[in-house]
Amino acid sequence: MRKYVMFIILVIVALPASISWGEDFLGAPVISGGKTVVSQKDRLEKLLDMGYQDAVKYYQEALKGQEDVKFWDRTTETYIEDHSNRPWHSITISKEPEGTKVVLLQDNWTWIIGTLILRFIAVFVVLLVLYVAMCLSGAVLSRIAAAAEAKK
Amino acid sequence: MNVNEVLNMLYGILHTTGIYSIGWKMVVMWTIGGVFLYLAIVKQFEPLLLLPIGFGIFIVNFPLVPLMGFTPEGRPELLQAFYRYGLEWEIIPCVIFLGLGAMTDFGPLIANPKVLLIGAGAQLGVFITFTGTVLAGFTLREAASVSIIGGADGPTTIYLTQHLAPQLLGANALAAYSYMAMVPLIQPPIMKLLTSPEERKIRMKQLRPVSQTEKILYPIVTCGIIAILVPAVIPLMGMFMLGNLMKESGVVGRLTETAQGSLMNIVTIFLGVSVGATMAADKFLSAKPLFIFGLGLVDFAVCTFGGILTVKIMNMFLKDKINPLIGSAGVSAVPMAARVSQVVGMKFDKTNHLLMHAMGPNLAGVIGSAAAAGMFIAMFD
Repeated sequence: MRKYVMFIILVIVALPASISWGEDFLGAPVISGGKTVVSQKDRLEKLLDMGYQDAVKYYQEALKGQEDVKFWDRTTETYIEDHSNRPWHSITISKEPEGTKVVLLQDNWTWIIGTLILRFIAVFVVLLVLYVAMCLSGAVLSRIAAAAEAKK
Repeated sequence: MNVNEVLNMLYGILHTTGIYSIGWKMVVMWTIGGVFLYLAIVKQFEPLLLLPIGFGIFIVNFPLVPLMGFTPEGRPELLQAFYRYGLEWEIIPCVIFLGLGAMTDFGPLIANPKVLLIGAGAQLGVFITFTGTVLAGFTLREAASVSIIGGADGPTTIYLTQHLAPQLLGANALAAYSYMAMVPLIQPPIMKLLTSPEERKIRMKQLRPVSQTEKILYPIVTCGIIAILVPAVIPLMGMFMLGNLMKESGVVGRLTETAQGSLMNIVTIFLGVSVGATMAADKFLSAKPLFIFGLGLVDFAVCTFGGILTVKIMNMFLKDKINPLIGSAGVSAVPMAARVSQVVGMKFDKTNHLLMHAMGPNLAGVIGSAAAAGMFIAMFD
């Protein structure tokens, strides 16, 4: 029995940090170990002592099969965003000179309102570009037509 | 064979019919289908769409009907096939846009391109409703697909919903087409509320004539710009502009005729009946679709408000004022919304014809709602 208990304790102690899944931030998995840089109600920032690729792999595994979770691979960082109603909004894993940094953010209205305002403005920009193009082509064609008329 | 065996046989036959499986929810859906058929046939509200939608709702809500399921061999049943290959593969909305393009004259928009901004302003409701939908507990993808209803563009609503939240397709499409049909009822009170009697009488300068070369160049240039700025919606806008180029070039008369006639009619049948068929009682009779219906109305009203507000803001800077009544046409619903501007304008000045002026923002609304849809697709893909 003692041997059995010792074995269990040994397994728990020796279990690598990368596969311990006890911690979480608002339901989002957090890799244990490393150094916590910022720990607030709405933001958790950690500097990990593991490779960038390993951290990305960890989250790919941990969030596997979860609906409405989107991964964006942006060369030096991976951005994971939740599009459902989870309490967390995003997880950013980035390569930093001092190691791998993971930033977890709480779901927030600032992001939603901000992105909506920007996209509404973007609709104006699209139609404004079209407007400029139409004005220019209209002016050019009118001049060509006027020149042709004058020749006649 | 004794009496019991005969009764058992009859009982067995009865079980192969749908009699034992009819539930109250189905009866409710028959009523909803009936209302759509009534609106289409008696009231003649968008009959081309509401009739097949209504019949689709009716026919799919019977027990044991082999319409929306799969055969034991895995083949889709009749309406499931229409739905899968037409809507799920996003083909029907694009083909409808091809036909719409072949029917559209962009002349009023080319002659007065500044009204393009009205089409952008009229998307206000889309973005405001998004917030309301998220507050109500919808996911972001669902919120985006619901909010586009206010753009009053059926094919765009279907395209975006199928892309982001296919589970809401029936409710969203139905809400979009219902509110499009009700444009003459919804918009006039809002237009009157937001404009003064003087504003309603503003006379706009006659539109300049547009050359054929401009009309031919327009779909090419627009298509190029949209492809660069909002590539996500190019399947829709590309088809729209192709249809228009076919019409304006005048060299493919047969193709234009097919696109705006037979082809459009065929896909409209498949679209209507497939949309109706998505509304099985167990899916539709829940809080979400009913909420979508309610929110769609608010969305549509705010979009109308956004269009009128944009005109008022533009008028602060323009020498030649725009009649704010054409602002409401910034929601798509072509050409119904433009006609509403004309009718309301005529009520206050019988000689003030706004139809051609309103066609500009109306067409800008189509591009604006497609651009908004593209923004949402880009947000999630």
